[in-house]
Amino acid sequence: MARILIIDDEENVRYVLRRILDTAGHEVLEAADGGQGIEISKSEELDLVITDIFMPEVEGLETLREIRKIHPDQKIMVISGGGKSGYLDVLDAAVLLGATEQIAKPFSPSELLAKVDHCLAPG
Amino acid sequence: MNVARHLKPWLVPLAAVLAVAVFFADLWLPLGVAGGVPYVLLVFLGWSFPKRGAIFVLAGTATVLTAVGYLYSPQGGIPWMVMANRGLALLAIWGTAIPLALAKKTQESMQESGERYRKLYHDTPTMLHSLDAEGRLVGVSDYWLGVMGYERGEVIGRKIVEFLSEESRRRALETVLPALMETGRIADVPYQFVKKNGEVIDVLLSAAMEMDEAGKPFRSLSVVTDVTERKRAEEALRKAHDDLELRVFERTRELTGTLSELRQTESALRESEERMRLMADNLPALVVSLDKDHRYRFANRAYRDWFGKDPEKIIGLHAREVLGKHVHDQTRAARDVVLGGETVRFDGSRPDASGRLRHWDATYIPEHGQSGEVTGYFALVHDITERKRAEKALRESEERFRSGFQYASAGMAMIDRKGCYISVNPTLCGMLGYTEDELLRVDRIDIIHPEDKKVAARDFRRLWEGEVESVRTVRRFRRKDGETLWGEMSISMVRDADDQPLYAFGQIQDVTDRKRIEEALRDSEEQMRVITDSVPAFIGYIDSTHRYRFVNKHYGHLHGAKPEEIVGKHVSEVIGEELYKKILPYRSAVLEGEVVTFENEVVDTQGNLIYQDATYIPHFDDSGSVIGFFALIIDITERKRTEEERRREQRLTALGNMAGGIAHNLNNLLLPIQALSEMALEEFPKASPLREDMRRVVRSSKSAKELVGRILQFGRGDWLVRQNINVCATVGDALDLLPTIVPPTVKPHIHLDPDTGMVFGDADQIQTVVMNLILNAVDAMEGRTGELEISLSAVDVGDTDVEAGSRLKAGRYARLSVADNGRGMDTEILEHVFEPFFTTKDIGEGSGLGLSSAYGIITQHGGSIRVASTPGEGSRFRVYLPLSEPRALH
Repeated sequence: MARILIIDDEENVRYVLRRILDTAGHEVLEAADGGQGIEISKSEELDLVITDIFMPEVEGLETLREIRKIHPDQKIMVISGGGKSGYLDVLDAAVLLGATEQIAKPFSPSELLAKVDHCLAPG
Repeated sequence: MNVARHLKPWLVPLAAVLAVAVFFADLWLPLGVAGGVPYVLLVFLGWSFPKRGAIFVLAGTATVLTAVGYLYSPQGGIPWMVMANRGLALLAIWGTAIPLALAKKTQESMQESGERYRKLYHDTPTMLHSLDAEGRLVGVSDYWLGVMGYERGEVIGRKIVEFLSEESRRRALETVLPALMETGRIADVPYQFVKKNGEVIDVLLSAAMEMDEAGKPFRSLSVVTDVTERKRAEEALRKAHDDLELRVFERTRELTGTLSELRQTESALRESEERMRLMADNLPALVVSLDKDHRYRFANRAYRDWFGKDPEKIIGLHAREVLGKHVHDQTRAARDVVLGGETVRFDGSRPDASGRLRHWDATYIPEHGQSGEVTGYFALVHDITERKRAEKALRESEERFRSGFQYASAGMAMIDRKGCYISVNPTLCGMLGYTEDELLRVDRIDIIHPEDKKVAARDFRRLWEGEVESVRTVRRFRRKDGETLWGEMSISMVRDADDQPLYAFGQIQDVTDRKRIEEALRDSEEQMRVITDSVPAFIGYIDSTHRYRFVNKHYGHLHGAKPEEIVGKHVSEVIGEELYKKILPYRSAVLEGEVVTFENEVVDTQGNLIYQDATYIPHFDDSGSVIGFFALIIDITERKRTEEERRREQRLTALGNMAGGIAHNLNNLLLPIQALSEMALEEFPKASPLREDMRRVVRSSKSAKELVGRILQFGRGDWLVRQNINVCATVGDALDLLPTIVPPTVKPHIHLDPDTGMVFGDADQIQTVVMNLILNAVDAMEGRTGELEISLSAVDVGDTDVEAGSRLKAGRYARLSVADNGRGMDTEILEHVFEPFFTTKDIGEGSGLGLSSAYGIITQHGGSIRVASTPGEGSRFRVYLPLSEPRALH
């Protein structure tokens, strides 16, 4: 049971994530863009942030960097639209910026939950 | 004479058939003596054969057949009758054959004679021609054609007058032809024939008329002798004769000087009156003796010529009576002097008996008596008319020469044997920058340019030694100020009447400016050649008659020749008739004054197709008409190839961007389908039929995900897990799967160089590329036996390495080559081979993504993938992957 923030401009994606995470018994907060997500992360205690990489306005990498500034230990998972794992440079950058885990669209619920569990595992 | 040529092919079978027919008729029908008649016909057939031998062969055959026929015919009867019949038939046969053979013999010899005549006519090394009654050529000899430069077909049937010069034509029509018609013969008529090339030759023509039986002329035979050379020789002879006359004239002129010697005769006369009397009569001068009363005591015979009177008749007459008042008055003063005891000499003139004015020179010499008194005087008178005239002519001639010499525009000089100037004219002084005095003092050889001295000295020696009559050349002289003067010089010998050299006469025309212009032109042309040869373009100048006047080195190379071998040739000779016709419209346009630009394809001497960009620029003269044009041609083959490649890559990049965009959006759409259907699947009871439906949705969405993944491989963004990998090991790992995908009909040949090196890249992706290329090769072999070659090695790629593709930077690359000998691909397929969903297989057999994902993966690695293929022979794919810097290995 964890508090998880989902940041994605696609309502469809947020819906799917919420459905999977709800079913698994997690508490889900939603943000439709990076700015909103950063605001929520300031006020809320979060176990995990799942953010899309390509978003209008404040995009994923910037969101990641801002949240890291506020909570250096925040666990963050990035999602990309690429076939296997998204775009090389962006994902490389995401890992450099401290993304805990990454996942590429589309994915199955079990894949997502496995990665979420991996993120939430202590240590 | 060739017999076979005249033998009609149907004659032999006809004779054979006739012989057999008659023979069988003879066997079946008892023809008796009448049987001989068909055999006689058979003999007659022999006439048609070209040789009389045939008659005898046929007669012999008829004899044998007659004999056999009579022996076996069913006629029976009394034996002697049979014998008689046989005898009569044979008599008829041979009675026909022998006269026929004799007649044939006559015909044969006539034919041979005709043939010989024709041969003689054609081959005689003389110009022969025959005319019909209208003056048209019906026959000419080969020699005639050779001299005139025509082919036989061009002249037969034409009128002879067409081959004559205008003057000869008129003479032929007005006098020669009528004379020939009338007398039947003409001889050595001088004519001028005009050759095909327009040259006129002098000939002598003799002709004879041939008459027919009625005595009417029907043909003429002419013999024509080319006397052009003889005429030339005559001309030379006449000229030589004129020269000789000139010499004679000069000698005569010298002789006139001899007259002065006669003056010495005066003293001789004084010495001996007797001798004087004797000589006086023979002198070509008037000699008279008068007493002191001016009455004649003696006169020589010349008196008759001068005054038309006998010398004897004037003895005792007074001078006035003989000379007339006018001359008497003219000489009065002289008479007074001579009577005073002094010799006096004077001249004057008077008309002679025929009225011509004659000049004379008179000397009056006093005659003294015993006591010294003057008793009379002698008068000695020369006719100096001729001398006066000669002197005048000489004076004029010298004057003319002097003024010609003095004011000539050419430099002139007389030079002695030592090479010193005897005389120079002001023009020469001006040319060389010396005064006349200076020039007369210098040695001529010193004013000749050092480099020309040797030749000049040799020429001068040869001239004096008579080896040459004159020397004409261009020579360099050194002016006083040190400048070089180019002189066009002619120098010739002037000789005396005995042909001994007097002096050399030289003329010099200053051609320094012309030489400078020539040199400047040569320099300018040289510069132009250096410039045009260093420009990477084909440059030529073509004149309005389509002939090359200039081409640069590259133009020559293009056509496998040196520039000087092309200049002067017609364009069609150099570029070939076909291409010449193709670009004729452009040439016509430029010669009408337009600047023309067009693209063109040619095949060079190595057989390569070359694309050219040609520009023709018209060259106008001062009057504005086009006198030629410059052709500037650039080889754009490489540019075309690069453009083509860039276009293909741009298309692939655009396709990649589109595919990437579509894939990204599809992934967003696929996410709810996959995730929610999987979740829904868990919700359905185990027995629900909806469970299977939902499972299909899940399976389809997974397939869609894979497809999108492969599209992304081609497109802009699959994630590469890049690290330094040993490319040989990576490819080797991929080849472990070879037995599972290559059928036993295909024989693989593998050459992997373990030292190829390291590549910074994604090993899985590179293996995907290897597999895709192998699958593609196997497909190309369509299940037949074939060879598959896989090789890997390191190569250096240069900046202009066409094979590796223009987008690669120069450097060291790993080259993977996969080649098959399958069906190959044509240019249309090659154009699209890397595009996604492009496939030559039937729908459903392949995805059409294998090669496009290989393209995407290699491009993302900064490499290049190329293909070369020949339909029916196979394809070869080459993959270039940049090798890591050596330091990246550590």
